[in-house]
Amino acid sequence: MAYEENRGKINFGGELIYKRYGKKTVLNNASFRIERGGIVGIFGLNGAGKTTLLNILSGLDGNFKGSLLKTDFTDVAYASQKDFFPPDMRIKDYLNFEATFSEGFDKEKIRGKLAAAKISEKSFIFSLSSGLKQYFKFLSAVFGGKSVVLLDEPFSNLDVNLRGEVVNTLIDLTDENRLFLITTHEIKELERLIDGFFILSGGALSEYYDAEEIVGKSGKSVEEFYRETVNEKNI
Amino acid sequence: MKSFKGRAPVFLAHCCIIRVIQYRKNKGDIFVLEFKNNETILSQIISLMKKEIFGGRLVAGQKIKPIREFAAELSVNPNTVAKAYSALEEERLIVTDGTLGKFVTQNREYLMKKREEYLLGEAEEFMEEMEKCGVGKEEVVWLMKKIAEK
Repeated sequence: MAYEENRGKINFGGELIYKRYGKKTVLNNASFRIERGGIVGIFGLNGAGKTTLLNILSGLDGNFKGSLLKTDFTDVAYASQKDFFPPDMRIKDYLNFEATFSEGFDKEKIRGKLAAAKISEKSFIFSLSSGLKQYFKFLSAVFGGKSVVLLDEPFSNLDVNLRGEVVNTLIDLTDENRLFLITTHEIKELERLIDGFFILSGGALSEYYDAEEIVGKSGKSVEEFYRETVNEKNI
Repeated sequence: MKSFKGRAPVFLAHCCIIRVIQYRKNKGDIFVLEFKNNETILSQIISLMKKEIFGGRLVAGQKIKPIREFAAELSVNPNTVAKAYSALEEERLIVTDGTLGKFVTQNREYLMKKREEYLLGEAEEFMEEMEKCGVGKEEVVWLMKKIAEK
């Protein structure tokens, strides 16, 4: 029951993560540390390196300089933008497959959510629309029983109903023993949901901003604050 | 004066700073709250709860919604709702009864006192805004009468 033992011991982050593709530096000594569970956003413009950062944090991409605080990748779930499903797999098969591998994988919860969204378990995963696939990846990640869940643009391609479902599921699941790290450039969706956020720009991560504090102090919405910060940095 | 007539409500709507959180009934009976952006969600939830209590929609001794349920209804972080509840608890408007949950205080006298405090505060803020528009006390009374007659 590694999962139960690990709960309440969030210590996630990285130090001086440096990554480049060819001559282009994407992450330039990005550092952060999170010691409490909750919903945390990583905001950044397109191409800021959000996905690259998540790839590194999930252990998918080991080719970088710097270090990670947490190395137990089996306790990290990642809903990536890319698909890693075997091509001929049905939803049902995938759920059974995952359930045998990871303890805490809540197959029944996922089945319930899929039924509510009218997604048949018999469908081949590749045949799902991109929105439904995104939603399925989201469900698999958040109900995976892991204490760190990385979500890359979880709202992309989702219709209004599914966006609502994603929001409600996060509200249901969030607690101090579980960290949801979410990248997005659609801040509106997350604004009321996040405990705090980082801004990724120029390859580096900002300090951690507490959402309530920022709005209270600046009298601006998180989105306005983000926009101004990003624009200042880009000048 | 004629042109002013009938415009008072519009005028008031512009000036009035009473924090309006609009209820909009969405399919079925799920309440959708429209939050103001420039104010923390926390303070907006606190003032929403106060309005529910002082407006008598949540009565003395009534159980209030569990944190997660309320958070889901408002689509906000449960932490924020938890903070709002503890702020209200600090003001002794709500009390925790062991594991049963949280309830509006049974102390009606205290509730009425707090209600008056709250209303006075809101009215003062309103008055200040009116003064900025060059409206004196008498005119405010006149405006209020006008609205009441409608």
